[in-house]
Amino acid sequence: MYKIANHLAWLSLWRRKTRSLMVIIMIALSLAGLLGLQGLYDGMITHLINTTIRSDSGEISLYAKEYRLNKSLDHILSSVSQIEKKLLTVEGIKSYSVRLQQEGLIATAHKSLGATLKGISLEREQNFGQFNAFTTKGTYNFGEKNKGALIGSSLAKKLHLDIGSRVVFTAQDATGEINSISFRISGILKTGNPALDENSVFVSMGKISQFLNLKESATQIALRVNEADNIKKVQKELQILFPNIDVLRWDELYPLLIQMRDIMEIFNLASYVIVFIVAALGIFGVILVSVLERMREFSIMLAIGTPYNMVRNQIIIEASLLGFIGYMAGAFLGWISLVYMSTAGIDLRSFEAGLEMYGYSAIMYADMHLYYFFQAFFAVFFATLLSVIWPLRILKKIKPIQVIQGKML
Amino acid sequence: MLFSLALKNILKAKGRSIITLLLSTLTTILFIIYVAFMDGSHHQFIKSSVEIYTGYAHVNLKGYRDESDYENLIEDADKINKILKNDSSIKEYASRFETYVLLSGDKKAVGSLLAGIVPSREKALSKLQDSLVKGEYLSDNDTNAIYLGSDLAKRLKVDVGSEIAMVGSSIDYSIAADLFTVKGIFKTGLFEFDSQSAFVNKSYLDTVMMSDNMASYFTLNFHDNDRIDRMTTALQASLPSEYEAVNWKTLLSALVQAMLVDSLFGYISISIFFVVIFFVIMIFSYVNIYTRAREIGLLRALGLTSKNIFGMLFTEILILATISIVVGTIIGASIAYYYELHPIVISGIAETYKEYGVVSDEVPMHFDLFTIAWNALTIFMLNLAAIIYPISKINRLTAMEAMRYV
Repeated sequence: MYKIANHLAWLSLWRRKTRSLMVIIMIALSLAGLLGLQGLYDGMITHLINTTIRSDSGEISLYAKEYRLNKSLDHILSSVSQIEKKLLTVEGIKSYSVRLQQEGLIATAHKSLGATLKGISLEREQNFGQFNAFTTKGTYNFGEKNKGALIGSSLAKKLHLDIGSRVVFTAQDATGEINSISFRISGILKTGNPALDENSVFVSMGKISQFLNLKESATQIALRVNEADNIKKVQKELQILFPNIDVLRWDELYPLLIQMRDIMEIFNLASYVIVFIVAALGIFGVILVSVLERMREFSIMLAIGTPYNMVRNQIIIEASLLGFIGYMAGAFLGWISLVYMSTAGIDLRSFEAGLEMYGYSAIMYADMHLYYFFQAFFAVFFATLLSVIWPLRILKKIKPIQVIQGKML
Repeated sequence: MLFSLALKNILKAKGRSIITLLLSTLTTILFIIYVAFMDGSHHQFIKSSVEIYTGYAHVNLKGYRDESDYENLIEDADKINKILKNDSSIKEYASRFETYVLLSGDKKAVGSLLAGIVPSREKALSKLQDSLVKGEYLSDNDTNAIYLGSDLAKRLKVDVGSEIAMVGSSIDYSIAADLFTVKGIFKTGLFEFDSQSAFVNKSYLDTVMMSDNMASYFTLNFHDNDRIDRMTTALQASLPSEYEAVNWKTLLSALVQAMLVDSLFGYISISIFFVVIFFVIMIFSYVNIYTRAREIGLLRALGLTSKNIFGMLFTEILILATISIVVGTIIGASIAYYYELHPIVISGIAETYKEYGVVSDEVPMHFDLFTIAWNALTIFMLNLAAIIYPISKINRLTAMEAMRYV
């Protein structure tokens, strides 16, 4: 029975080629657009999250209690080597980075700006987030006797610094004294994280510890976890291991990123709902006319004993075929656009300053997930079902003999 | 005759007419509100950035914006002062001296912007005085008084009455140091500004920094800030060649770019909706026209030309589109106008997005007649474009073919 219904549906569909094609093109274009945008918006948020994790928080970060509320050297992690020993016993930690930072004033011969001095280990940062890849100028090292410094690209630009330029950093040390230290710029980093690029000077842990009169101390220990599924498990283990230390996941440190991702998901979902409710109206128009045009044909079928279910199935199949062909064309176009945007990216370098202000990359790359296509399929499927409800109601109400005699419709 | 035929057809094909009317009206309303909301939030962003501190325009030495150091200061501020005073297009203006210094409280030192301002003049140029939350605003006679951003005060762990040590560099690059007492604390809502800015009476700071009769730049408001480009160009003509007048579009170019990109993505998002609307109107028009194929064939046989048929069918969509655009524009514009006066309040949005420069929970719409007009015109054109293909297709049939069309 389905075979006949399928065949009839297929033939009916192509009896009016133009209007069937209009529906298919409508579904295909809107779907391709929605898939492309969904991937691009997700890609923008993923970039923000990845940059934050790579350059700063890791999947988990350890802070001394109260440090995040009160960024003072009174609230820092001490006996760092003991903490490191314990970290080695925790399964699932891929790498970690120990950092010590202090806010202060960076000055050249002509200009000063507020900045943050960050002590890091280059080797550890390389394992942690491939920091070397952020180097845009100079070399990824602290020079002879660790007298060099790496500097954020925006800060370097504001201070007109280049490789070899000398800077003086002034800050308060752990004893409350104001001290100054001088560095030569050995490299310029562009991490994509505005907080780092606009504000940070990276020096060796040894130099900053000496400068701040501290030993075995850190303001943050950031960790990379092997598997994303293990993050909560590792966090729990660390919380037990270090009850007097704040052990926080990246999403707890940066809740705004999660909110942005949630808002984007809601926006994508709302776009699908609105677009496909309207698209359902287009499919409905075609199916309704198709049913009304063939009312005599359906009446004859019903009069000679064809079950109503078969006629109903024929219409549902007809609408489903329209939807399915539209979906396949749209999914294919969407897939091509996503492949292009996720590999070549979209070049928005002419808006670079504006995008970097909010931490976005000037070349935007799209995300591509299988669930996009499932989501799109269900949207088209429901639009198709929605569109046949009214035509089927009309068909259900007809009296075949009267229609054949021309007394009805 | 064509008009009355078109009108009759509209009334006869009620279903198609209602759907086209509803779709076009709703699309017009949606588009106007969407753009008003997008523009409203962008205007809010820019307005707060301009009005809180930056100002509508600056006059500075050429090169200062690229290298805002002591080498590019205005060295004869009185001369610029006289020019600005005699310019009738300028409503308010004041000089500012900006430098970065290390401010130290008892327990913490922070690198911060320290700006010398003329307190009485800043009242009309920035929101500094309006943003006072504790203590007092500065006066023109103040000496060692400092006015701090609320987040900077938190970072320094100081309150009104606390003493703050300042270490910086005077304009001859010798060390400048002084002790200030916190006179007041302000909160503008602009997170970065509140956490990195401190202000002192300029006449006193000039004695500390040895910057008498000098300024980093002059900030100013025109009487007509809406025609800022024209005003800035006119001002530039009256300035000596080594000085430049720049308006907020240049001063906040990164922010303007960011808003532009956001608008771009906004228009791309809504264009998908337009594609669907375009096809739905086209499908309904196509179906409607082809169900009348025999009638159209008869009209052709009676002597109407394909141009007449085009005119009749085009008039139909013209009538429907005009009605829906007028209704949609009135409703959409009214909503935009209402929400410009009574902004939508999203509780907590300013706190959540403070790092992105959101300063208020209020998100106003922007009511602009020109924008509304082009929004409405876009939907109108969309309606007209959607009918072209169905009409041209039916017109390709001869009278006999149309009458035999099944």
